[in-house]
Amino acid sequence: MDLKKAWKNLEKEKLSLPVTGTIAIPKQSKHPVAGIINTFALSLVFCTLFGGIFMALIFVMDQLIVQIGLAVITFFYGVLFTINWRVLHKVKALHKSDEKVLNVLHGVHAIVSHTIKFQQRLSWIFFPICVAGGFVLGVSMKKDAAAMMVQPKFYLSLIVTMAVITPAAYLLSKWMTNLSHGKYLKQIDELIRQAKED
Amino acid sequence: MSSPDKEFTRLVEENRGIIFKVIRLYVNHEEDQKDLYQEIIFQAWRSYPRFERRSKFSTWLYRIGLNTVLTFKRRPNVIEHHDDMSAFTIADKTTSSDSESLYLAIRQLNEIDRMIISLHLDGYENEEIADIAGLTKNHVAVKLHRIKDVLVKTLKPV
Repeated sequence: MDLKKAWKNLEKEKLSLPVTGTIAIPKQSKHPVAGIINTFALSLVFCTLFGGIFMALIFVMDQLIVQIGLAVITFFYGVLFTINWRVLHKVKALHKSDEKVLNVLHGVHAIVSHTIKFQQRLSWIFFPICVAGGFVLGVSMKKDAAAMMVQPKFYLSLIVTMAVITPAAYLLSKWMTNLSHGKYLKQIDELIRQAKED
Repeated sequence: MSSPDKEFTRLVEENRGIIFKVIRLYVNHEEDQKDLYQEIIFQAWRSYPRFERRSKFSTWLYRIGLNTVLTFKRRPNVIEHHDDMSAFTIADKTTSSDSESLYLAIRQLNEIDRMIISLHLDGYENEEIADIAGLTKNHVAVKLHRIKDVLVKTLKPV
């Protein structure tokens, strides 16, 4: 069989058949990396929102220890905003569709695996702080938090809460990340392997 | 519509066959095809300011099309398995046309090999394929040799 001749016929009979759609330039991308970029952009919004709420609570709450706790959480949201901002820009810079195919595959792989590692590392800091903050805030709603904090029972309850919620939240977030990105990472891994094999 | 928009739309209009070809080589599902068509145009538009006219627009669009198809997240129910083509039997080989047989044989190749052979059959030189794929010229030559062997074996009439 003459491959080139068969290819020409194939182009004419099948490959050149139009796909439904117009040449209007779409406003939004459905690419997974666009999804990752949107997630980071959304996390910036949440950081700003929650940071603002916790900052406002500092002025509302009257117990000093609670105010200190809220200030720590607000500071943490500021750090989180900065980190997310930097990662967002890194991801945007890495995602270029007009590069060489293998470069693009490596770029997308780097974005996805970096995002997964970043979220997992961050959750070990993020979850305990959130649990502790939530716990102190919860206690302060009904009792004097400073008075409660001198009792060993307070710390025991806090440690137990953190010991239960932190790993559970970590495992849940890991499972959700694998669900959203795990299969996709395997798809890119497989393509890189295919490109490298002889 | 501004002038760059018009120019871009005209160039895509003239080369839209490349987009159809890339999509039809990789995707069967109609919804995926529609999504990919829009996505390739989106990615091309996003990258257009970086287009330096060192290569032809068609080659540049081909590269964007391939990159988008390969890195797009597949629908779980339409992940392509090479076994899907197992229905392609010897009997089919004798009854289907050469082009249909070639299509089925190409669809049996892995996705990177499919890209390399389609570029080769489209008349791209090994150096150009290497530049699009990000491989060395020698690696492309080795791969092409193996892919052609596979195709010849698959298409050999019994």
